Amino acid sequence: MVRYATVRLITIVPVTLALMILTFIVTQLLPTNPAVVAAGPLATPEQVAQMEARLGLDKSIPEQLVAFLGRLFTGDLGQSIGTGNAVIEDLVRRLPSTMVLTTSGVLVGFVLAIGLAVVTANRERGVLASVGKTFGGLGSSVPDFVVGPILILLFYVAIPVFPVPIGQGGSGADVPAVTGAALLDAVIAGNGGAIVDALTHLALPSLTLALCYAAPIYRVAVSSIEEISRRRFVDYVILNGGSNKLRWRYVLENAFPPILTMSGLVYGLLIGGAVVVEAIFSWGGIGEYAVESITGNDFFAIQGFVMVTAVLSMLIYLSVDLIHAWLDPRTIKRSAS
Amino acid sequence: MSKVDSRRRRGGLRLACVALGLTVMTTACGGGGTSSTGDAADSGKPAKTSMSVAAGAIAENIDPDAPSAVVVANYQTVKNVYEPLVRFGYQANDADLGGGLKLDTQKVEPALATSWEYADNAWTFKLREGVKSHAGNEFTSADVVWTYERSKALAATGALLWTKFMGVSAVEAVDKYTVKFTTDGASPMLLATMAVASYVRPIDSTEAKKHVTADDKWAAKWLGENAAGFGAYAISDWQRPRSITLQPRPDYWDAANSGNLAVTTQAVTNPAQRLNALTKGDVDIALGLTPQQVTTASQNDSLTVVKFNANTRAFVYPNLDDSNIADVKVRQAMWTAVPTKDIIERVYNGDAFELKSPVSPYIAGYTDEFFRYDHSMEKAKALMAESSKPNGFKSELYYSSEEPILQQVAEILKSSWAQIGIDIQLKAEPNAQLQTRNFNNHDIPLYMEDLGATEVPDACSIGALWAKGGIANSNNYHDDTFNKAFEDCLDQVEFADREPAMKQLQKAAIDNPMVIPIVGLYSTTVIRSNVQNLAFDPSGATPYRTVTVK
Repeated sequence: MVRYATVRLITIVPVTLALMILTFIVTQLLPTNPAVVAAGPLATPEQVAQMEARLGLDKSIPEQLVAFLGRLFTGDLGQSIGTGNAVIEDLVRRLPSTMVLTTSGVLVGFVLAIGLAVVTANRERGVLASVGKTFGGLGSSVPDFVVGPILILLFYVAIPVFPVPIGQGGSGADVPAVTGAALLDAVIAGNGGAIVDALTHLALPSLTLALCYAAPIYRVAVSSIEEISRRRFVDYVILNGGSNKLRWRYVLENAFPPILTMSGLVYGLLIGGAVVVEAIFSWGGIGEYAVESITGNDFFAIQGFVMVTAVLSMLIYLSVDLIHAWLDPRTIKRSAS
Repeated sequence: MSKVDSRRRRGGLRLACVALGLTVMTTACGGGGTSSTGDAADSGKPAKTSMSVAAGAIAENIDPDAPSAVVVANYQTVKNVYEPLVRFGYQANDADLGGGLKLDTQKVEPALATSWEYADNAWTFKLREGVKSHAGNEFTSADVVWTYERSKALAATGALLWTKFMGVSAVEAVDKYTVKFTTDGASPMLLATMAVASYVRPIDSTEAKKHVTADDKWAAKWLGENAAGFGAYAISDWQRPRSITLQPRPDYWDAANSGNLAVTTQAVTNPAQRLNALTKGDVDIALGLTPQQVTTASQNDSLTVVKFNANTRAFVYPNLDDSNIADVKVRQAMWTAVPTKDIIERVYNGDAFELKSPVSPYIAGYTDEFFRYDHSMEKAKALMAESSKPNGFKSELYYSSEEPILQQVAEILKSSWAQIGIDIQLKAEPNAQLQTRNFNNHDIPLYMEDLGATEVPDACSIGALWAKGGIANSNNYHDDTFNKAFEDCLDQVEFADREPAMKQLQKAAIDNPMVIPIVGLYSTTVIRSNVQNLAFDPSGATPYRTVTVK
């Protein structure tokens, strides 16, 4: 297992390096001079030239690439034109918010998908089967920019169950900003009221993500459960007088790896892909930052966002692989062969 | 002067999909003219001590002279925590525009300076004594000198203002409470620039110097994250990028005449969500709503739409290096063919006004007496017939692809200009890309934008923008009459003495247009009806010290 983990970890290095170079090349292809954007629309040509020198854009492309890689290895992602702050600071300030949102969304979706899969698997007809099919179909086809506003309309406007769907709540002078994510900061401060406030603010965006992105997890779960249920060892458990609980335990244990893989894929996707939900709920995560950066041609911010989300996604996929290998050691053997 | 970053000013993300989704919600909760709270203005209630604002973004960096200081969300906070040497007074805004207060651009008042005088190429300011900063340090002439030296060293927007608009070549401390600005001539725009620009407001140098490092000689890092001014507000809570709370300072020099509202601004990316929260009473002020949302809000009794005659304008910038457009008759014909009223009604839902000068109407020295381009296709055709291009020509009109509203304006212009023989191809490109092309490459024949500018409210300022070497003169405008009028403008300090030159500047700019004005846009803010005395700042930032909430 240690060898497997080490090999998997090492494979990340060349991928990351390739990603860095690719990011650099793609941002070089942007049809805009970042120095013009940074210097402001009324800057004189001399000021633009000064800015080019300051940003290192007056150097040759290979020199810029070396400088770019050198900066990355020291954790310097440059300075954002839009915010005026170091990109790494901006990302660190926003990343915990995105992680809280996506993690809660995936967790809620995971529970929802597994629960629904358990009650709808192996059912061809009936209300439950219809519910399952509807969820599996609509969940993939109705986008988050429709589901989010509908939830707001239902649970904030029509029936005001949840607070104003703006931001993360939970903050205030008595909850110091430590991580930047209101829920985590409230937990660190041990402030019960702030925790509840943050959780109620988290509910709708989290549910939106869950409803929109749990469908693939559900479909994999259903097919996996149905496939495992048909295996002979399950019949063997029943024939030996095993309880229904024991049967489900065997089914779920064996059906779990593909479900986990799909959940990991969804999680990795959402790290940089929850942008619409972040925008709808003014969440203040890295997704909104990315869109702001792209529309403003914020050169270094775009590079930083791509790098951070790509590395995080790779780490998530690595974690999923390791859990997969831990659950099913045959994976390690297959990998070795 | 520096232009407002449109993506921030207009609330950031404009994902069509989000707008589509939230249109349903806005209609459902805001269009019916009812409110779930329904707490309309009630004069019997005591004034509130806190207020909530929904804006597109909040400040991320509050260094008054950082490159990012041109972002409206940043200088919104800077203007409330830093105090100028002089400021403009306020007067009542027109009742039919929703009331509130607007700048009196002819009334300069003392702020950190108590008096000033001009003599022999120098302005001397007597500073207010006993003023304390956020850190408790006393305000002295050393702060003004350090702020100037800092701007000069950073060579950002502040430096541009000190030199191009204020004409300052040196600042020296005469004594602890007297400071002298050496200027190139009379520098008549010096006071107006100081009054409106956040970039040149004095910094508490005693405090800032404590945070200077070897790599950061002007404490940019620290000033980006900490307030070190002498203004009406202090930052009490800052949850970047989500919310910021400003607390009124009891030791502010003019605290007795200022409101006592703590103001929490929340970043609400989607404008529909801002209106939604306002309608429900969860916020008191919503900034940056779309014209359609403003129309929706205007039907709600618990909300008030306040409009200010602002400096945000839709202009078409003709590139005068383009032989087709270089002919003045062509530009006159194009201006005459602009169906202004049609654009105001169809595109902006009436939330705009006709421009009769390149100078905004609220600015001191504005005149519309030389305007002669009332919409007339016959007159426009006649002008084209007199031009060097009687058979018309083909050209391209560029505008930001991030501004859907400009697409509508462009289509109307295309149709209108086609009738006078100008065949326009519409080109939408990303804003940042267009900036590079228009300001750097100069390869765009016609460029349209509808940005605001933190303009100096003095009619002379158009000279600083478009006279020879002007900082906005990216379209290569040249007019001897205009240049001469600007020189005359700079020779006089007193407004009355400069007024003829101001008129001459505008006459020249109308006779030989450097821009084709399309419409002026109101600076529109929607507030709960119990919010009173909202004031207008031409930069688009909202000063909070005048606001009260019942």
